[in-house]
Amino acid sequence: MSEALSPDIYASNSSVKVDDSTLVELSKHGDSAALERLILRYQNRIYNVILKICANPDDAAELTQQTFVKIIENLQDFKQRSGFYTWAFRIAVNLTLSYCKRKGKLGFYSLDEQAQDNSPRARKALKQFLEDEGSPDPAEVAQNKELCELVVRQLSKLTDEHRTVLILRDIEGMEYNQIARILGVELGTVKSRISRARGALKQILEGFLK
Amino acid sequence: MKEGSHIDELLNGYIDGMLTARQRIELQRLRINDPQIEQRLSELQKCKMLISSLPVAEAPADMLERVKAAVQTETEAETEQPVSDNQLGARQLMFRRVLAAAAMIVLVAVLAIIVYSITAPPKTTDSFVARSGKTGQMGDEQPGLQEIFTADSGTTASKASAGIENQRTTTGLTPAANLFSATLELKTSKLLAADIAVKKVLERDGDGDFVTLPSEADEYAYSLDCGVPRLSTVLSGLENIWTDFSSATLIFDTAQTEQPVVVEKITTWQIAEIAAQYSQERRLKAAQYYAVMNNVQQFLPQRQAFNVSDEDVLDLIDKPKPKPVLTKDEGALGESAEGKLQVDLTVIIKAE
Repeated sequence: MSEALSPDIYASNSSVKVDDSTLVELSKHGDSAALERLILRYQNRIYNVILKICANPDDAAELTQQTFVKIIENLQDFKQRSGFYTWAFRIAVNLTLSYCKRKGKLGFYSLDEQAQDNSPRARKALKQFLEDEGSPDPAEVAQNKELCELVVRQLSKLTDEHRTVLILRDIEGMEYNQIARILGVELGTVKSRISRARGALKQILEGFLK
Repeated sequence: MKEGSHIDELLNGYIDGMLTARQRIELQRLRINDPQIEQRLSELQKCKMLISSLPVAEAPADMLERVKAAVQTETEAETEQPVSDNQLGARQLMFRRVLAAAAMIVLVAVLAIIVYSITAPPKTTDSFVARSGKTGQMGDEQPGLQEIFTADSGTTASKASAGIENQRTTTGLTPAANLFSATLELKTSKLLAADIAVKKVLERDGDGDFVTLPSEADEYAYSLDCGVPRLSTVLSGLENIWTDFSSATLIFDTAQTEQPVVVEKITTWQIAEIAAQYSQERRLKAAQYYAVMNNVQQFLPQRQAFNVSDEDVLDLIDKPKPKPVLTKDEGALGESAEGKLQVDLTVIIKAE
Protein backbone atom coordinates (compact mmCIF):
# COMPACT_ATOMS: atom_id res chain seq x y z
CA MET A 1 0.00 0.00 0.00
CA SER A 2 1.42 3.34 -1.02
CA GLU A 3 1.58 5.87 1.73
CA ALA A 4 2.25 8.78 -0.58
CA LEU A 5 -1.24 9.24 -1.87
CA SER A 6 -4.38 9.57 0.15
CA PRO A 7 -7.25 7.28 -0.93
CA ASP A 8 -9.38 10.37 -1.29
CA ILE A 9 -7.65 11.40 -4.45
CA TYR A 10 -8.97 8.22 -6.14
CA ALA A 11 -12.57 9.06 -5.50
CA SER A 12 -14.54 9.35 -8.69
CA ASN A 13 -15.79 12.76 -7.73
CA SER A 14 -12.34 13.91 -6.78
CA SER A 15 -11.09 16.92 -8.66
CA VAL A 16 -7.68 15.28 -8.89
CA LYS A 17 -7.46 13.09 -11.95
CA VAL A 18 -4.89 10.35 -11.64
CA ASP A 19 -4.02 8.74 -14.94
CA ASP A 20 -4.06 5.04 -15.58
CA SER A 21 -0.30 4.58 -15.69
CA THR A 22 0.06 6.11 -12.20
CA LEU A 23 -2.68 3.92 -10.83
CA VAL A 24 -1.06 0.89 -12.42
CA GLU A 25 2.31 1.70 -10.86
CA LEU A 26 0.73 2.28 -7.48
CA SER A 27 -1.19 -0.96 -7.81
CA LYS A 28 2.00 -2.80 -8.66
CA HIS A 29 3.48 -1.53 -5.41
CA GLY A 30 0.60 -2.92 -3.44
CA ASP A 31 -1.70 0.10 -3.36
CA SER A 32 -5.07 -1.61 -3.19
CA ALA A 33 -6.92 1.70 -3.35
CA ALA A 34 -5.31 2.46 -6.70
CA LEU A 35 -6.25 -0.97 -7.92
CA GLU A 36 -9.83 -0.49 -6.79
CA ARG A 37 -9.91 2.81 -8.60
CA LEU A 38 -8.80 1.14 -11.81
CA ILE A 39 -11.54 -1.43 -11.44
CA LEU A 40 -14.19 1.18 -10.73
CA ARG A 41 -12.98 3.27 -13.61
CA TYR A 42 -13.33 0.53 -16.19
CA GLN A 43 -15.86 -1.95 -14.84
CA ASN A 44 -18.87 -0.46 -16.64
CA ARG A 45 -17.15 -0.05 -19.97
CA ILE A 46 -15.71 -3.54 -19.87
CA TYR A 47 -18.98 -5.03 -18.72
CA ASN A 48 -20.88 -3.18 -21.44
CA VAL A 49 -18.61 -4.41 -24.22
CA ILE A 50 -18.68 -7.96 -22.91
CA LEU A 51 -22.46 -7.88 -22.61
CA LYS A 52 -22.85 -6.63 -26.16
CA ILE A 53 -20.59 -9.41 -27.42
CA CYS A 54 -21.94 -12.31 -25.40
CA ALA A 55 -25.51 -11.02 -25.02
CA ASN A 56 -26.06 -12.59 -21.61
CA PRO A 57 -26.04 -10.41 -18.47
CA ASP A 58 -25.02 -13.18 -16.07
CA ASP A 59 -22.25 -14.40 -18.29
CA ALA A 60 -21.16 -10.83 -18.89
CA ALA A 61 -20.87 -10.22 -15.13
CA GLU A 62 -18.88 -13.42 -14.67
CA LEU A 63 -16.59 -12.59 -17.59
CA THR A 64 -16.06 -9.06 -16.28
CA GLN A 65 -15.07 -10.45 -12.91
CA GLN A 66 -12.68 -12.91 -14.57
CA THR A 67 -11.22 -10.07 -16.60
CA PHE A 68 -10.31 -8.06 -13.51
CA VAL A 69 -8.95 -11.12 -11.71
CA LYS A 70 -6.73 -11.78 -14.70
CA ILE A 71 -5.68 -8.14 -14.78
CA ILE A 72 -4.68 -8.28 -11.11
CA GLU A 73 -2.83 -11.56 -11.59
CA ASN A 74 -0.83 -10.21 -14.52
CA LEU A 75 -0.40 -6.62 -13.42
CA GLN A 76 3.22 -7.14 -12.34
CA ASP A 77 4.06 -8.32 -15.87
CA PHE A 78 2.33 -5.37 -17.54
CA LYS A 79 5.10 -3.14 -18.91
CA GLN A 80 2.76 -0.32 -19.99
CA ARG A 81 4.02 -0.42 -23.59
CA SER A 82 0.34 0.03 -24.47
CA GLY A 83 -2.23 1.83 -22.38
CA PHE A 84 -3.90 0.07 -19.49
CA TYR A 85 -7.21 0.64 -21.23
CA THR A 86 -6.10 -1.24 -24.36
CA TRP A 87 -4.49 -4.01 -22.32
CA ALA A 88 -7.59 -4.46 -20.16
CA PHE A 89 -9.90 -4.58 -23.15
CA ARG A 90 -7.64 -7.06 -24.87
CA ILE A 91 -8.00 -9.38 -21.90
CA ALA A 92 -11.75 -8.83 -21.76
CA VAL A 93 -12.32 -9.43 -25.47
CA ASN A 94 -10.11 -12.52 -25.57
CA LEU A 95 -11.90 -14.02 -22.58
CA THR A 96 -15.28 -13.25 -24.11
CA LEU A 97 -14.45 -14.59 -27.55
CA SER A 98 -13.07 -17.78 -25.96
CA TYR A 99 -16.29 -18.06 -24.01
CA CYS A 100 -18.35 -17.58 -27.17
CA LYS A 101 -16.31 -20.22 -28.95
CA ARG A 102 -16.81 -22.68 -26.10
CA LYS A 103 -20.48 -21.99 -25.91
CA GLY A 104 -20.80 -22.42 -29.67
CA LYS A 105 -23.69 -20.11 -30.05
CA LEU A 106 -25.16 -17.21 -28.23
CA GLY A 107 -27.66 -18.11 -25.58
CA PHE A 108 -29.49 -14.90 -26.20
CA TYR A 109 -31.15 -15.79 -29.47
CA SER A 110 -33.67 -18.39 -28.36
CA LEU A 111 -36.98 -19.25 -30.01
CA ASP A 112 -38.89 -17.24 -27.44
CA GLU A 113 -36.80 -14.25 -28.12
CA GLN A 114 -37.17 -14.81 -31.83
CA ALA A 115 -40.87 -14.23 -31.26
CA GLN A 116 -40.03 -10.84 -29.76
CA ASP A 117 -38.43 -9.90 -33.08
CA ASN A 118 -41.94 -9.81 -34.40
CA SER A 119 -42.89 -7.03 -32.04
CA PRO A 120 -44.78 -4.69 -34.41
CA ARG A 121 -43.77 -1.56 -32.60
CA ALA A 122 -40.08 -2.38 -32.67
CA ARG A 123 -40.30 -3.40 -36.28
CA LYS A 124 -42.10 -0.17 -37.17
CA ALA A 125 -39.59 1.92 -35.25
CA LEU A 126 -36.70 0.22 -36.98
CA LYS A 127 -38.32 0.73 -40.38
CA GLN A 128 -38.91 4.43 -39.72
CA PHE A 129 -35.34 4.84 -38.55
CA LEU A 130 -33.83 3.24 -41.62
CA GLU A 131 -36.16 4.98 -44.10
CA ASP A 132 -35.84 8.41 -42.57
CA GLU A 133 -34.60 10.70 -45.31
CA GLY A 134 -33.28 13.20 -42.85
CA SER A 135 -30.94 12.76 -39.95
CA PRO A 136 -32.55 10.51 -37.33
CA ASP A 137 -31.99 11.37 -33.73
CA PRO A 138 -29.90 8.75 -31.91
CA ALA A 139 -31.47 9.79 -28.63
CA GLU A 140 -34.83 8.57 -29.88
CA VAL A 141 -33.34 5.16 -30.58
CA ALA A 142 -31.76 5.00 -27.14
CA GLN A 143 -35.08 5.79 -25.51
CA ASN A 144 -36.93 3.11 -27.48
CA LYS A 145 -36.24 0.05 -25.36
CA GLU A 146 -37.96 -2.37 -27.74
CA LEU A 147 -35.97 -1.04 -30.67
CA CYS A 148 -32.73 -1.36 -28.72
CA GLU A 149 -33.49 -4.95 -27.83
CA LEU A 150 -34.32 -5.66 -31.43
CA VAL A 151 -31.04 -4.16 -32.59
CA VAL A 152 -29.11 -6.16 -30.02
CA ARG A 153 -30.78 -9.34 -31.26
CA GLN A 154 -29.94 -8.49 -34.87
CA LEU A 155 -26.40 -7.69 -33.83
CA SER A 156 -26.10 -11.10 -32.27
CA LYS A 157 -26.74 -12.65 -35.68
CA LEU A 158 -23.36 -11.40 -36.85
CA THR A 159 -20.30 -13.55 -36.49
CA ASP A 160 -18.28 -13.05 -33.31
CA GLU A 161 -15.53 -11.31 -35.26
CA HIS A 162 -17.88 -8.87 -36.97
CA ARG A 163 -19.89 -8.18 -33.86
CA THR A 164 -16.77 -7.51 -31.83
CA VAL A 165 -15.23 -4.97 -34.21
CA LEU A 166 -18.50 -3.08 -34.48
CA ILE A 167 -18.92 -2.98 -30.72
CA LEU A 168 -15.36 -1.82 -30.14
CA ARG A 169 -15.70 0.84 -32.81
CA ASP A 170 -19.29 2.02 -32.55
CA ILE A 171 -19.98 1.51 -28.86
CA GLU A 172 -16.57 1.93 -27.27
CA GLY A 173 -15.41 4.38 -29.95
CA MET A 174 -11.95 2.90 -30.30
CA GLU A 175 -9.53 3.92 -33.02
CA TYR A 176 -8.75 1.34 -35.69
CA ASN A 177 -5.20 0.86 -34.46
CA GLN A 178 -6.45 0.25 -30.92
CA ILE A 179 -8.85 -2.35 -32.23
CA ALA A 180 -5.98 -3.93 -34.16
CA ARG A 181 -3.90 -4.20 -30.94
CA ILE A 182 -6.80 -5.58 -28.95
CA LEU A 183 -7.67 -8.21 -31.52
CA GLY A 184 -4.04 -8.87 -32.44
CA VAL A 185 -4.63 -8.29 -36.16
CA GLU A 186 -3.32 -5.92 -38.81
CA LEU A 187 -4.81 -2.48 -39.28
CA GLY A 188 -5.96 -3.38 -42.80
CA THR A 189 -7.78 -6.36 -41.39
CA VAL A 190 -9.65 -4.11 -39.01
CA LYS A 191 -10.66 -1.81 -41.85
CA SER A 192 -11.96 -4.59 -44.04
CA ARG A 193 -13.57 -6.36 -41.13
CA ILE A 194 -15.49 -3.25 -40.06
CA SER A 195 -16.60 -2.66 -43.62
CA ARG A 196 -17.86 -6.21 -44.03
CA ALA A 197 -19.48 -6.20 -40.59
CA ARG A 198 -21.51 -3.06 -41.29
CA GLY A 199 -22.50 -4.42 -44.68
CA ALA A 200 -23.60 -7.67 -43.07
CA LEU A 201 -25.60 -5.85 -40.40
CA LYS A 202 -27.31 -3.77 -43.06
CA GLN A 203 -28.32 -6.94 -44.89
CA ILE A 204 -29.58 -8.53 -41.67
CA LEU A 205 -31.72 -5.50 -40.88
CA GLU A 206 -33.08 -5.29 -44.40
CA GLY A 207 -33.79 -8.99 -44.38
CA PHE A 208 -35.60 -8.63 -41.07
CA LEU A 209 -37.85 -5.87 -42.36
CA LYS A 210 -38.85 -7.75 -45.50
CA MET B 1 -16.96 -6.78 -56.40
CA LYS B 2 -13.49 -5.77 -55.40
CA GLU B 3 -14.30 -2.22 -56.37
CA GLY B 4 -17.50 -2.45 -54.31
CA SER B 5 -15.62 -3.57 -51.22
CA HIS B 6 -13.06 -0.83 -51.78
CA ILE B 7 -15.85 1.73 -51.95
CA ASP B 8 -17.41 0.24 -48.83
CA GLU B 9 -14.10 0.57 -47.02
CA LEU B 10 -13.87 4.18 -48.12
CA LEU B 11 -17.44 4.81 -46.99
CA ASN B 12 -16.88 3.18 -43.59
CA GLY B 13 -13.57 4.97 -43.19
CA TYR B 14 -15.37 8.21 -43.94
CA ILE B 15 -18.06 7.39 -41.37
CA ASP B 16 -15.42 6.62 -38.75
CA GLY B 17 -13.25 9.61 -39.67
CA MET B 18 -10.33 7.42 -40.64
CA LEU B 19 -9.72 8.59 -44.20
CA THR B 20 -6.68 10.46 -45.36
CA ALA B 21 -7.15 13.70 -47.29
CA ARG B 22 -6.58 11.93 -50.56
CA GLN B 23 -9.15 9.25 -49.72
CA ARG B 24 -11.68 11.91 -48.75
CA ILE B 25 -11.22 13.63 -52.12
CA GLU B 26 -11.61 10.30 -53.91
CA LEU B 27 -14.81 9.57 -52.01
CA GLN B 28 -16.15 13.04 -52.63
CA ARG B 29 -15.70 12.57 -56.38
CA LEU B 30 -17.48 9.18 -56.21
CA ARG B 31 -20.42 10.60 -54.26
CA ILE B 32 -20.92 13.37 -56.83
CA ASN B 33 -20.83 10.99 -59.77
CA ASP B 34 -22.83 8.11 -58.28
CA PRO B 35 -26.05 8.76 -56.29
CA GLN B 36 -26.13 5.12 -55.17
CA ILE B 37 -22.93 5.68 -53.24
CA GLU B 38 -24.57 8.49 -51.40
CA GLN B 39 -27.47 6.17 -50.61
CA ARG B 40 -25.11 3.47 -49.45
CA LEU B 41 -23.28 5.93 -47.22
CA SER B 42 -26.53 6.93 -45.59
CA GLU B 43 -27.47 3.30 -44.86
CA LEU B 44 -24.11 2.49 -43.35
CA GLN B 45 -24.24 5.64 -41.21
CA LYS B 46 -27.61 4.52 -39.87
CA CYS B 47 -26.22 1.10 -39.01
CA LYS B 48 -23.45 2.75 -37.04
CA MET B 49 -25.92 5.07 -35.39
CA LEU B 50 -28.14 2.18 -34.34
CA ILE B 51 -25.28 0.47 -32.55
CA SER B 52 -23.91 3.66 -31.07
CA SER B 53 -27.33 4.52 -29.73
CA LEU B 54 -27.63 1.35 -27.71
CA PRO B 55 -27.76 2.17 -24.01
CA VAL B 56 -24.64 1.57 -21.99
CA ALA B 57 -25.14 -1.24 -19.53
CA GLU B 58 -23.69 -0.84 -16.07
CA ALA B 59 -21.78 -3.54 -14.32
CA PRO B 60 -23.36 -5.10 -11.24
CA ALA B 61 -22.96 -2.83 -8.23
CA ASP B 62 -21.05 -5.47 -6.33
CA MET B 63 -18.51 -6.05 -9.09
CA LEU B 64 -15.64 -4.74 -6.98
CA GLU B 65 -16.58 -7.03 -4.10
CA ARG B 66 -16.93 -9.97 -6.48
CA VAL B 67 -13.49 -9.31 -7.88
CA LYS B 68 -11.99 -9.09 -4.39
CA ALA B 69 -13.66 -12.33 -3.37
CA ALA B 70 -12.49 -14.05 -6.53
CA VAL B 71 -8.92 -12.84 -6.01
CA GLN B 72 -9.03 -14.02 -2.40
CA THR B 73 -10.25 -17.45 -3.50
CA GLU B 74 -7.58 -17.68 -6.18
CA THR B 75 -4.89 -16.66 -3.69
CA GLU B 76 -5.97 -19.31 -1.23
CA ALA B 77 -6.07 -21.91 -3.97
CA GLU B 78 -2.58 -20.89 -5.09
CA THR B 79 -1.15 -21.12 -1.59
CA GLU B 80 -2.61 -24.57 -1.18
CA GLN B 81 -1.77 -25.75 -4.65
CA PRO B 82 2.04 -25.49 -4.41
CA VAL B 83 2.01 -27.47 -1.17
CA SER B 84 0.00 -30.26 -2.68
CA ASP B 85 2.12 -30.07 -5.80
CA ASN B 86 5.25 -30.29 -3.70
CA GLN B 87 3.89 -33.24 -1.78
CA LEU B 88 2.84 -34.92 -4.97
CA GLY B 89 6.22 -34.22 -6.49
CA ALA B 90 8.01 -35.57 -3.44
CA ARG B 91 5.88 -38.68 -3.53
CA GLN B 92 6.57 -39.19 -7.21
CA LEU B 93 10.28 -38.63 -6.64
CA MET B 94 10.32 -41.11 -3.79
CA PHE B 95 8.38 -43.62 -5.87
CA ARG B 96 10.84 -43.22 -8.73
CA ARG B 97 13.78 -43.72 -6.37
CA VAL B 98 12.26 -46.83 -4.82
CA LEU B 99 11.46 -48.15 -8.28
CA ALA B 100 15.01 -47.50 -9.43
CA ALA B 101 16.43 -49.20 -6.34
CA ALA B 102 14.17 -52.21 -6.84
CA ALA B 103 15.16 -52.40 -10.47
CA MET B 104 18.83 -52.27 -9.51
CA ILE B 105 18.36 -55.05 -6.94
CA VAL B 106 16.58 -57.23 -9.46
CA LEU B 107 19.27 -56.52 -12.03
CA VAL B 108 22.05 -57.39 -9.62
CA ALA B 109 20.21 -60.55 -8.56
CA VAL B 110 19.76 -61.65 -12.16
CA LEU B 111 23.40 -60.93 -12.93
CA ALA B 112 24.46 -62.84 -9.81
CA ILE B 113 22.38 -65.83 -10.86
CA ILE B 114 23.85 -65.74 -14.34
CA VAL B 115 27.42 -65.44 -13.05
CA TYR B 116 26.83 -68.17 -10.49
CA SER B 117 25.31 -70.50 -13.07
CA ILE B 118 28.43 -70.02 -15.19
CA THR B 119 31.10 -70.21 -12.52
CA ALA B 120 29.64 -72.38 -9.75
CA PRO B 121 30.89 -76.00 -9.47
CA PRO B 122 28.29 -78.68 -10.25
CA LYS B 123 26.34 -79.96 -7.32
CA THR B 124 27.38 -83.47 -6.53
CA THR B 125 26.33 -84.16 -3.02
CA ASP B 126 22.59 -83.69 -3.15
CA SER B 127 21.79 -87.36 -2.97
CA PHE B 128 24.79 -88.34 -0.93
CA VAL B 129 24.90 -89.25 2.69
CA ALA B 130 27.87 -87.90 4.51
CA ARG B 131 29.23 -89.89 7.33
CA SER B 132 31.83 -88.36 9.52
CA GLY B 133 34.70 -90.16 11.09
CA LYS B 134 36.12 -92.03 8.10
CA THR B 135 39.19 -91.02 6.26
CA GLY B 136 40.95 -92.32 3.30
CA GLN B 137 43.73 -93.50 5.53
CA MET B 138 44.03 -96.82 7.18
CA GLY B 139 43.36 -96.78 10.90
CA ASP B 140 41.87 -93.32 11.01
CA GLU B 141 38.38 -94.51 11.65
CA GLN B 142 36.70 -92.63 14.46
CA PRO B 143 33.78 -94.66 15.70
CA GLY B 144 32.53 -91.85 17.88
CA LEU B 145 31.76 -89.79 14.80
CA GLN B 146 29.79 -92.42 12.96
CA GLU B 147 26.92 -90.02 12.71
CA ILE B 148 24.83 -90.09 9.58
CA PHE B 149 23.44 -86.78 8.49
CA THR B 150 21.67 -85.42 5.49
CA ALA B 151 19.97 -82.20 4.59
CA ASP B 152 16.66 -84.02 4.64
CA SER B 153 16.64 -86.29 7.66
CA GLY B 154 13.52 -88.06 6.42
CA THR B 155 15.46 -89.65 3.61
CA THR B 156 18.48 -90.63 5.60
CA ALA B 157 17.86 -94.37 5.52
CA SER B 158 17.20 -94.64 1.82
CA LYS B 159 20.09 -92.39 0.94
CA ALA B 160 22.40 -94.24 3.23
CA SER B 161 21.62 -97.40 1.35
CA ALA B 162 22.55 -95.72 -1.91
CA GLY B 163 26.03 -96.85 -1.13
CA ILE B 164 27.95 -93.77 -2.03
CA GLU B 165 28.88 -91.65 0.88
CA ASN B 166 30.90 -88.61 1.49
CA GLN B 167 33.09 -88.65 4.51
CA ARG B 168 34.90 -85.95 6.36
CA THR B 169 38.39 -85.68 5.13
CA THR B 170 41.23 -85.29 7.50
CA THR B 171 43.69 -84.22 4.91
CA GLY B 172 41.74 -81.41 3.36
CA LEU B 173 44.03 -81.69 0.37
CA THR B 174 42.72 -81.26 -3.12
CA PRO B 175 44.10 -83.99 -5.31
CA ALA B 176 45.69 -83.13 -8.59
CA ALA B 177 43.79 -84.07 -11.75
CA ASN B 178 46.52 -86.35 -13.04
CA LEU B 179 46.94 -88.15 -9.72
CA PHE B 180 44.35 -90.60 -8.54
CA SER B 181 44.88 -91.19 -4.84
CA ALA B 182 42.53 -93.67 -3.23
CA THR B 183 42.16 -96.24 -0.53
CA LEU B 184 40.79 -99.69 -1.26
CA GLU B 185 39.45 -101.30 1.88
CA LEU B 186 38.94 -105.05 1.68
CA LYS B 187 37.37 -107.09 4.46
CA THR B 188 37.66 -110.82 4.77
CA SER B 189 37.14 -113.61 7.24
CA LYS B 190 40.34 -115.25 5.99
CA LEU B 191 42.72 -112.40 6.73
CA LEU B 192 46.01 -114.24 6.46
CA ALA B 193 45.13 -116.17 3.30
CA ALA B 194 43.75 -113.08 1.66
CA ASP B 195 46.84 -111.06 2.55
CA ILE B 196 49.10 -113.70 1.07
CA ALA B 197 47.05 -113.79 -2.12
CA VAL B 198 47.02 -110.02 -2.45
CA LYS B 199 50.72 -109.73 -1.76
CA LYS B 200 51.37 -112.41 -4.35
CA VAL B 201 49.42 -110.46 -6.98
CA LEU B 202 51.24 -107.27 -6.08
CA GLU B 203 54.60 -108.92 -6.29
CA ARG B 204 53.75 -110.54 -9.60
CA ASP B 205 51.89 -107.71 -11.34
CA GLY B 206 52.97 -104.67 -9.33
CA ASP B 207 56.41 -104.79 -10.81
CA GLY B 208 57.97 -103.50 -7.64
CA ASP B 209 55.72 -100.38 -7.49
CA PHE B 210 54.22 -101.30 -4.14
CA VAL B 211 55.37 -101.04 -0.57
CA THR B 212 54.12 -102.62 2.59
CA LEU B 213 52.78 -100.11 5.06
CA PRO B 214 52.82 -100.38 8.84
CA SER B 215 49.45 -101.51 10.09
CA GLU B 216 47.39 -102.61 13.06
CA ALA B 217 47.41 -106.15 14.34
CA ASP B 218 44.35 -107.40 12.47
CA GLU B 219 45.04 -105.76 9.13
CA TYR B 220 47.57 -105.42 6.36
CA ALA B 221 48.28 -102.41 4.21
CA TYR B 222 50.09 -101.86 0.95
CA SER B 223 50.71 -98.81 -1.14
CA LEU B 224 50.75 -99.10 -4.90
CA ASP B 225 52.27 -96.17 -6.73
CA CYS B 226 52.07 -96.70 -10.46
CA GLY B 227 50.42 -95.72 -13.71
CA VAL B 228 46.96 -96.71 -14.86
CA PRO B 229 48.15 -99.63 -17.04
CA ARG B 230 49.97 -101.15 -14.14
CA LEU B 231 46.95 -100.66 -11.90
CA SER B 232 44.79 -102.46 -14.44
CA THR B 233 47.16 -105.38 -14.46
CA VAL B 234 47.15 -105.56 -10.67
CA LEU B 235 43.37 -105.35 -10.53
CA SER B 236 43.11 -108.15 -13.09
CA GLY B 237 45.15 -110.25 -10.80
CA LEU B 238 43.01 -109.36 -7.82
CA GLU B 239 39.88 -110.26 -9.78
CA ASN B 240 40.67 -113.95 -9.25
CA ILE B 241 40.58 -113.64 -5.46
CA TRP B 242 37.90 -110.91 -5.22
CA THR B 243 35.30 -113.40 -4.02
CA ASP B 244 37.39 -114.00 -0.92
CA PHE B 245 36.48 -110.54 0.34
CA SER B 246 33.18 -109.97 2.07
CA SER B 247 33.32 -106.26 1.25
CA ALA B 248 35.35 -103.95 -0.94
CA THR B 249 35.18 -100.21 -0.52
CA LEU B 250 36.96 -97.55 -2.51
CA ILE B 251 37.56 -94.19 -0.84
CA PHE B 252 39.06 -91.15 -2.53
CA ASP B 253 39.12 -87.39 -2.33
CA THR B 254 37.88 -85.02 -5.01
CA ALA B 255 37.88 -81.26 -5.31
CA GLN B 256 34.17 -81.36 -6.06
CA THR B 257 33.17 -82.62 -2.64
CA GLU B 258 34.18 -81.51 0.76
CA GLN B 259 34.22 -85.07 1.99
CA PRO B 260 35.86 -88.18 0.53
CA VAL B 261 33.82 -90.25 -1.88
CA VAL B 262 33.04 -93.80 -0.76
CA VAL B 263 31.92 -96.52 -3.15
CA GLU B 264 30.93 -99.73 -1.49
CA LYS B 265 30.75 -103.18 -3.07
CA ILE B 266 33.17 -102.02 -5.67
CA THR B 267 34.54 -104.39 -8.30
CA THR B 268 38.00 -104.45 -9.82
CA TRP B 269 36.92 -103.18 -13.21
CA GLN B 270 34.98 -100.36 -11.53
CA ILE B 271 38.18 -99.31 -9.74
CA ALA B 272 40.07 -99.40 -13.01
CA GLU B 273 37.40 -97.32 -14.74
CA ILE B 274 37.30 -94.74 -11.99
CA ALA B 275 41.08 -94.46 -11.95
CA ALA B 276 41.22 -94.11 -15.71
CA GLN B 277 38.93 -91.05 -15.87
CA TYR B 278 40.93 -88.03 -16.91
CA SER B 279 39.35 -85.57 -14.50
CA GLN B 280 38.23 -85.55 -10.92
CA GLU B 281 34.74 -84.61 -12.01
CA ARG B 282 34.49 -87.66 -14.20
CA ARG B 283 35.88 -89.87 -11.46
CA LEU B 284 33.17 -88.56 -9.19
CA LYS B 285 30.49 -89.23 -11.78
CA ALA B 286 31.73 -92.73 -12.34
CA ALA B 287 31.88 -93.39 -8.61
CA GLN B 288 28.39 -92.01 -8.20
CA TYR B 289 27.07 -94.26 -10.91
CA TYR B 290 28.79 -97.38 -9.62
CA ALA B 291 27.64 -96.71 -6.07
CA VAL B 292 24.04 -96.53 -7.21
CA MET B 293 24.36 -99.57 -9.42
CA ASN B 294 26.05 -101.66 -6.71
CA ASN B 295 23.33 -100.72 -4.27
CA VAL B 296 20.56 -101.63 -6.70
CA GLN B 297 22.13 -105.02 -7.27
CA GLN B 298 21.74 -105.68 -3.57
CA PHE B 299 17.96 -105.57 -3.91
CA LEU B 300 17.65 -107.52 -7.14
CA PRO B 301 16.09 -111.02 -6.99
CA GLN B 302 18.71 -113.63 -6.37
CA ARG B 303 21.19 -110.75 -6.42
CA GLN B 304 21.67 -110.94 -10.14
CA ALA B 305 24.36 -108.67 -11.30
CA PHE B 306 23.78 -106.15 -13.97
CA ASN B 307 24.69 -107.50 -17.31
CA VAL B 308 26.57 -104.44 -18.33
CA SER B 309 29.74 -104.25 -20.21
CA ASP B 310 32.32 -101.58 -19.71
CA GLU B 311 31.13 -99.80 -22.83
CA ASP B 312 27.55 -99.73 -21.55
CA VAL B 313 28.70 -98.24 -18.31
CA LEU B 314 30.76 -95.63 -20.03
CA ASP B 315 27.77 -94.68 -22.14
CA LEU B 316 25.67 -94.35 -19.03
CA ILE B 317 28.16 -92.19 -17.25
CA ASP B 318 28.19 -89.68 -20.03
CA LYS B 319 31.07 -90.30 -22.29
CA PRO B 320 33.34 -87.32 -22.51
CA LYS B 321 33.67 -85.44 -25.75
CA PRO B 322 36.92 -86.41 -27.42
CA LYS B 323 39.54 -83.75 -27.05
CA PRO B 324 40.86 -82.32 -30.28
CA VAL B 325 44.20 -84.03 -29.83
CA LEU B 326 42.62 -87.43 -29.42
CA THR B 327 41.67 -89.54 -32.37
CA LYS B 328 39.43 -92.09 -30.74
CA ASP B 329 36.51 -92.20 -28.36
CA GLU B 330 37.88 -92.20 -24.89
CA GLY B 331 35.41 -92.33 -22.04
CA ALA B 332 38.42 -93.04 -19.97
CA LEU B 333 41.86 -91.94 -20.85
CA GLY B 334 43.57 -93.07 -23.95
CA GLU B 335 46.70 -95.11 -23.68
CA SER B 336 49.00 -92.16 -23.96
CA ALA B 337 46.99 -90.24 -21.40
CA GLU B 338 46.79 -93.23 -19.15
CA GLY B 339 50.53 -93.37 -19.14
CA LYS B 340 50.66 -89.84 -17.75
CA LEU B 341 48.12 -90.46 -15.01
CA GLN B 342 49.58 -91.60 -11.73
CA VAL B 343 47.75 -93.78 -9.25
CA ASP B 344 48.43 -93.89 -5.54
CA LEU B 345 46.32 -96.73 -4.24
CA THR B 346 46.44 -97.82 -0.64
CA VAL B 347 45.12 -101.33 -0.21
CA ILE B 348 43.99 -102.25 3.27
CA ILE B 349 43.00 -105.78 4.13
CA LYS B 350 40.98 -106.04 7.30
CA ALA B 351 39.60 -108.85 9.31
CA GLU B 352 35.84 -109.05 9.08
